[in-house]
Amino acid sequence: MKSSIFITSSRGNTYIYDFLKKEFFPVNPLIVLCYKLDEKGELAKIKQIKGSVNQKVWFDNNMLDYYVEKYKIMKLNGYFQTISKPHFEKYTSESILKSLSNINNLVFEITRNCNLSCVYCINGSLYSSQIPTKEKSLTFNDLKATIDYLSPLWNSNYNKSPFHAVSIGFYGGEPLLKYSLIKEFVEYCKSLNLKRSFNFSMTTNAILLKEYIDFFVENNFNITISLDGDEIGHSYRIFRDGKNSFKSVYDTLKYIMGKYPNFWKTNISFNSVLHNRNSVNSIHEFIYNEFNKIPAIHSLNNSGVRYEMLSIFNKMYRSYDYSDRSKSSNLMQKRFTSDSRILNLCKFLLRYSRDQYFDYESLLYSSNVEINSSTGTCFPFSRKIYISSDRNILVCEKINHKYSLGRINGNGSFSLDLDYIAKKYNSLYEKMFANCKSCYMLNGCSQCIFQLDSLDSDKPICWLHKSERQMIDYIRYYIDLLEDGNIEYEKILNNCVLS
Amino acid sequence: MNQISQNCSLSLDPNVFIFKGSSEFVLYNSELKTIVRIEKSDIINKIFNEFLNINNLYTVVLSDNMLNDTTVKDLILELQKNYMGDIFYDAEVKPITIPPVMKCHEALNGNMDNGNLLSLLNELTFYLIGDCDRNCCGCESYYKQFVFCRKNSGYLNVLYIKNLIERVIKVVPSLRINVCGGNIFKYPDLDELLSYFAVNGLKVNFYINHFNINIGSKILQKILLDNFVIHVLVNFPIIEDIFFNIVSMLRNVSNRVVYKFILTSENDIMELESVIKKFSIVDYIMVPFYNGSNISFFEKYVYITIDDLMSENLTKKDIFRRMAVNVNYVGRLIVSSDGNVYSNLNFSPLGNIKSDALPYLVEKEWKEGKAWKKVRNDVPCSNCAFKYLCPSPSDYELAINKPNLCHVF
Repeated sequence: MKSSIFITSSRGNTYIYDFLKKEFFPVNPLIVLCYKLDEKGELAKIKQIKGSVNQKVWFDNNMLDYYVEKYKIMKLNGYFQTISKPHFEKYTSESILKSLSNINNLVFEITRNCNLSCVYCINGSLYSSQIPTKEKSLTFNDLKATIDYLSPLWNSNYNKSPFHAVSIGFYGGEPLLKYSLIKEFVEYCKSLNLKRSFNFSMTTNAILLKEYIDFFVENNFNITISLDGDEIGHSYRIFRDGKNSFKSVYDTLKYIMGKYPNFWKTNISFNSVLHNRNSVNSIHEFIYNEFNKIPAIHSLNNSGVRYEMLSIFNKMYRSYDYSDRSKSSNLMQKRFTSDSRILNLCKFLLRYSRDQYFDYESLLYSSNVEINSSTGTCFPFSRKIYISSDRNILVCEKINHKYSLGRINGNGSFSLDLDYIAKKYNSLYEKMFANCKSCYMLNGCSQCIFQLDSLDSDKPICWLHKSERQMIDYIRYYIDLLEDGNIEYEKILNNCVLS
Repeated sequence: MNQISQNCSLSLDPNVFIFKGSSEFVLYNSELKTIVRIEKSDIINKIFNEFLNINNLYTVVLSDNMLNDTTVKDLILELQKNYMGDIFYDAEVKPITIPPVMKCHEALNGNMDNGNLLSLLNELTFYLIGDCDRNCCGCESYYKQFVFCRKNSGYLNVLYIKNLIERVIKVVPSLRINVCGGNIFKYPDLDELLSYFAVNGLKVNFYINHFNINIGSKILQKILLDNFVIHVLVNFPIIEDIFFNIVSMLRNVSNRVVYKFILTSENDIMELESVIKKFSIVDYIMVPFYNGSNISFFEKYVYITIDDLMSENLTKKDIFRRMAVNVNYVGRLIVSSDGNVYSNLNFSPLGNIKSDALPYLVEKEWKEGKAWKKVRNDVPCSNCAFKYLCPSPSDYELAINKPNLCHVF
């Protein structure tokens, strides 16, 4: 693989990006010419070329001499190298134990039951069912078992800070159907004499929220409301009788907004699903105007769709990037970090520039040059631990339950074999390496392997695999965004923070 | 859109830092390690202020008038000659470059409160015992300028040492461990501690004053047998018989021995030259010591010049580190024989290892401390264009009570 690639922006400017230097900058097209000739061992022949490159860039002999010299200096200083990816670093049971000891995000799918029958529900007819189970709700003992398992790890020497607050999220189905369980568990957590504090959160459809809101305000819950915009936009979120749930949700939200204005301001957020009955603009405008909030907006989950439902899915599906293109830059300004393009630009800058660091550890102690082969799969338990309603232990709610890493047993004990997990990941990564070793997404892969439909096959296919040409297109997208001048870079630096 | 009516723009490369001084702009190319100094003028100020506006993404559009200005022409030539930037004609929109502005996401989201505190650590120094029979002339001062023995009360319980190391090394496997005294051979649990180091495969640095090295001591033999590094602290004048015996004994393990000669004057340098020649010493470090009356020695041998800065070969990341933290101090904790924990022995203790949890001490230094985040933000350094090319402030600045030890500003 090449360490340096050339990109021509949509506006015609030529850039070089180097994977080892982690930087891009504009170059004179003569540098590209030097490189192409040098690749063929014919750099000396450049003197025979006279006048212009592609009839666009004119040059004289002085310019030619200068850029040949510049090319040579760049080459001498590490540009235009050949690079190869190292093998994946093997995980060990100890590295997974370290990760578990620092876990700060627990998510419980406390029930799969729901009081709505949303048309696009991940547990509905559109998707192949992920949980073939009789058990649809967790018990207090299941939740307690999780805390009991993690508490000694939090207090172990592997933990980087005993002051770390732990976030506990309740997820469903509709979690409010198990309100009494939430209440009991919150009281239990508060009664524990652990050195760390707990933050609680919940994602809800808000149908029952009015009834229980006092408890959530009292316990400072962060609440994410699922609302897809106005009445038409929200019309896939229906009761079992097919009736739109919009009115019920809207009234509840207005009630809470009026009764608890401060809580509303700091603790309420919105999550919306984009589809063919709404748009980024309509969702944003409605929720911003009605509730003074900027909603997170996601497209429908496109993995695990049942084959026979594909045509219905395709009719409903809308991509964020292609929604409301005419209002694009204006919307981007309004939504800023809630806009997927801005967010992705921030991620791009973090992964592909040497100016940005995720944490002080990487700024202070990591080496200057890093090429790794890691996929976009999170290190197990580095972001969260997810307990499904059938007591499976997973690393994320977005992963098929067949990739469960352990279980909570009927007797409330936690069954997690760290050695098995390390081996499982190592063998999957080994299998993926055939894909990854030729992929140009160096340092910036965002593909979770557990979301690949072909992961269980001998030769899984990664749809995000990038050839040199595809990588050029990928980087061009972000250069175009910055060249367009609609984004204030200072705002990106100061306001867009990845955690 | 960055649509340009003029057809010429000037772009700087992303590895070029612009540092603004009182009368000049200093440009440092962190790839080629070169410095260019541009004198200020109205038109230069205008151009560089545009470069420094990060929303311009390191590109300035040049009007025809500007292009015809001799100063601008010279600037363009200077930038091109030093491969720091280039000029682009006939672009539909101006090209862009990400300027070298460091962003640490963790710093912005405030997670250091509870995130990766312990991973900031990289070095622990234990003063095992404060007792020592010697009366070296710089005893009360050496340790304030570099790692050196220090008389004090008490001795550290070996359990505290083990617990602290085990707490940190799980998070920071590359932790550097230093051990010092008083006279460490008076430490009652030294044998147990050495066994602990050896059993756990820890590579430990022992800082021992050469006067305290008893060549017949069994415990010294144990130190020599294991995989430890011995820093022999040598202050002048040297008693040659004693020194000869030490050098002879350590010759077999010379790959794990570093001699540190404390120098206060040119006479010391001459004596050092004679000693290293006479005893065939290869691995040694010269350590200047400010004794209150040798400022001219420091001015000659320690103070930094522009040439020193130009030979530093700093990478972009080196500069970012110097902007964010004090690279001499960050990550270091010192535990004195009475249990007090310091980030720097020149400042008050952060707490005591007997009563305060380690993360609390780390958090205290990170949030309120005087050492880890001490960068060159005092006058005159704060106004100097070279401040981030300059090494982080050291203990010498504190000893001399002068924020800039340089011939630059």
